[in-house]
Amino acid sequence: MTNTRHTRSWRLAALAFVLAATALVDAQELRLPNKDKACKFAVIGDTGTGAQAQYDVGKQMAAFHQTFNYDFVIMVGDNIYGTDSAGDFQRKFELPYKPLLDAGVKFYASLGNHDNPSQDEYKFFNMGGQRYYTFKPQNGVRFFALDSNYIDKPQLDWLEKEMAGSHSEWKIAFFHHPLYSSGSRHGSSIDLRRLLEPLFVKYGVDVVFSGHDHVYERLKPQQGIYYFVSGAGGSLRKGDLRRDTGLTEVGYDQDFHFMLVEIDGGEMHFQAISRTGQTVDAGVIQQAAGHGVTEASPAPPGEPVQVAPVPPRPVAQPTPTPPPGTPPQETTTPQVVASPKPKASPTPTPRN
Amino acid sequence: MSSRTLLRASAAPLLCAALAAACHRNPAPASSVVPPPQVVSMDSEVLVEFYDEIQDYVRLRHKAVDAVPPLPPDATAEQIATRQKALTAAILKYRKRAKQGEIFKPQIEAAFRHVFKEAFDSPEGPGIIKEIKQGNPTVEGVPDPKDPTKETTRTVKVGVNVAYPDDAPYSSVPPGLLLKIPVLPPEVRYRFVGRALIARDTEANVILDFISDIVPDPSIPR
Repeated sequence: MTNTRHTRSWRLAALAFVLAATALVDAQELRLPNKDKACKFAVIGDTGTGAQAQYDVGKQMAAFHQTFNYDFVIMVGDNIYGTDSAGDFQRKFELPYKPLLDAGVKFYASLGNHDNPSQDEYKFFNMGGQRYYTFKPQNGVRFFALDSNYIDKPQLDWLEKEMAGSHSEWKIAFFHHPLYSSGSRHGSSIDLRRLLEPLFVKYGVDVVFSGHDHVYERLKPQQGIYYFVSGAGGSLRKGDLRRDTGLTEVGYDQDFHFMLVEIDGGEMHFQAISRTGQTVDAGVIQQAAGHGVTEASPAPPGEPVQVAPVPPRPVAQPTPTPPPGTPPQETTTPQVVASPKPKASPTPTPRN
Repeated sequence: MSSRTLLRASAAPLLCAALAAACHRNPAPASSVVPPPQVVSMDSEVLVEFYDEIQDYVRLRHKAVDAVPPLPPDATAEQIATRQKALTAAILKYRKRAKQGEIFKPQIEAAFRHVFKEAFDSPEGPGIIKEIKQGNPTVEGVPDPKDPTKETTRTVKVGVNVAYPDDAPYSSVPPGLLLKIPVLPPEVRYRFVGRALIARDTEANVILDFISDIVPDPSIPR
């Protein structure tokens, strides 16, 4: 009897070990090319709660950094929730990402609606005392960090001047409020879109990262531009993704996550990873030929930008169980929508 | 021009731009120009008066800034918090007699209400109202650190010289609306608390003045 019990216990322990080992292997599974000279970075949003989940995501980011040596992280806002004393900055930023900071990874922040405007002076956010700014981590790639809480005329004029003067092949904007989102809580920022989208189209912005809705969403290309919502790095709204917007290419609203991105020539590879190391989305965006090469010839709107999604591998982890009473989700398990389209949608469908 | 450079600029260029925009008889439709122009439909005398008040505040603020130690280029969180508190205290000291209506004087308040009403009644109105709710502290909560899938809202008292709680979120100010009201210097920002429009110092946690119930949407708690 006792032996049988011991045998069962041993088998259970062995099974648990195998499952854990499989999960660990999966946690290290990188779906990016990981080339030496590529521009590599991570994306996090809505992080600064200081909750255990934020630390879990930070651990995954550090684990992936061992194999995928990204140089910097862009933060799409809500970097410090609640109070923002020195202790808060430690608990809600410096400690969760300590291994990355120690490894010399730079963080570039944008301001969310929970962020004290004085964060632009904080050294680890590398904003240079500016609430909106631009930086070029390497030739051919330029980032534009905006303050979407307050897009006034001076910021709009600055953005146009900077975008018009940029000869980078890749133009990437990041800010807090999403122009397109299927989040029930907030959804698309329509008034913001009305002003920013024409600028993005005019100057050939390729990709936009936002947060605010506490989910992951890769949107169908709009006017030839790829939009990502990455707003669950430390806060989460389970089941918040609406299924009826027609905007979603891939969505995930069951756990916290972060993104890894690699730009190599005309390709941008991306991978969204949950706090347990599960890949929830991955793919590659092919840049249109001649995109943004010269100021005089910005890419016309709707140029083909392809996505070739990589289907996720099955993982040895239980499917997260939604809380009782939660309506059926759009994507309770990671999903990658089938084949890439050869061209961006000819008639974008901006909806709320 | 960087926002930091703007910080040092006087409000005069902004006034000129706003006045020029206000006097623009036939502005191009906002949708056809990228980026769209600033079109402030307010009486030029009201605008001048408003900018006079804002200039007065900026001058006072410069005195307060001079009274506190500057931030080093690589500021720590502690240095930022210390300076913010010191600046807030200095500003409050210099304007301890401030009252409601000193910046948004009655005629200025009336002009703002008129512009807001037109914006809310326009086809863009629903989008503008939606944006005002984003981050509005009476609508949007803060994730609970123990369970960040849940949120709790904070109470923000609206009043002149009242400290804006440092744990409360900040509302968005819809860009479509910002293009219709006077541009502020970087030292001051418009924000919404509930249905009220407030003028808040950008760096110090101080509400400078406010207009109550300028947002007519009853779905936004006061």
